[in-house]
Amino acid sequence: MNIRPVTAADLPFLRKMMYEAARWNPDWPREPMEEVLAEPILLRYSQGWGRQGDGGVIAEIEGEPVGAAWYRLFTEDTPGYGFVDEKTPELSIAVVPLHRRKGIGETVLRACMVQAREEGFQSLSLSVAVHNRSRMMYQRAGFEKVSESGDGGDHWTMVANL
Amino acid sequence: MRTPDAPVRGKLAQVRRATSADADTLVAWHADPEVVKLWDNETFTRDEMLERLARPDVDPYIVEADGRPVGYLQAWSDADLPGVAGLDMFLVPSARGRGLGPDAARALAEWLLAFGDVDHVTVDPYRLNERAVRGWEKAGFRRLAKAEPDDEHTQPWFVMAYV
Repeated sequence: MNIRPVTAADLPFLRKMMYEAARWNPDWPREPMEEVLAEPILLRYSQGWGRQGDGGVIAEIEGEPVGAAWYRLFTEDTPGYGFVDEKTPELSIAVVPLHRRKGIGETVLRACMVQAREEGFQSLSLSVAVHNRSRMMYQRAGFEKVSESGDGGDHWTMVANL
Repeated sequence: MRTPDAPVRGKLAQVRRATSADADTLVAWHADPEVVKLWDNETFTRDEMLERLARPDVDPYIVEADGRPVGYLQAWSDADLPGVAGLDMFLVPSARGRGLGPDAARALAEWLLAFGDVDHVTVDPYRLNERAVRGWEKAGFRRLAKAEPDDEHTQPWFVMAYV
């Protein structure tokens, strides 16, 4: 497996990954990707990809992208799900379904945290469903819960100080 | 987490399982404030050390260089963190500054990932202990996040992972 920085040219793959991240629960119906990604709040994650403050890493196996961890700065007026402030990029992460359960998610998460620190960011945030198994992975990597959101607090906003 | 049957060799040092025969050496090391001043200053009697060496969730190792014991390395596991091994290490002062620690840590981390039924190797040095942080970085660990004092840590620390 090879890990490399994300570029503006990765947007098509990142959109696939954004879809996977948004539909993380395999029990949910697989609505068409274009429909899911057109939801106004999800559009904020992809529109104008490559702008200042966008970053992340892609995992490749034999030249094929198989997973990604990426981050983007949001504003108070147009926040993401895990927004905490305008200086803290929000992290997203996804792995191609066929390549899950091989530790790729944790590998890209770590590489992305190192990259964000090297880019000068002091923290990263994320939003995760309480029942999402990946919550443990974020905790292992040093993310801590800062608030709850959603129906009855079923999502956590977590922050890692880099 | 599995443990190696034979010593794990690095380029400069080797790592072998600690046994009850190492208890006196370890008691003496822990009694020397220079050795363990950044290890929460814990001291142990011989009996306490024998008990420590037999903990089910912590595998103790001796770091050796030129055929002599020069430090202690342990690998812990935690039921709440499946697939994760955490390392802790100290070297005696005379063995420091030669790259032995990073070499030993890298050798054990590589062994655990290849053969030890472990997916991730982490370390948790205190942030003030810059020397240790640099050593872990030399061994191949990277800083992931800053963490605050908790049940296991009396000072702010870094989450670091072998990458």
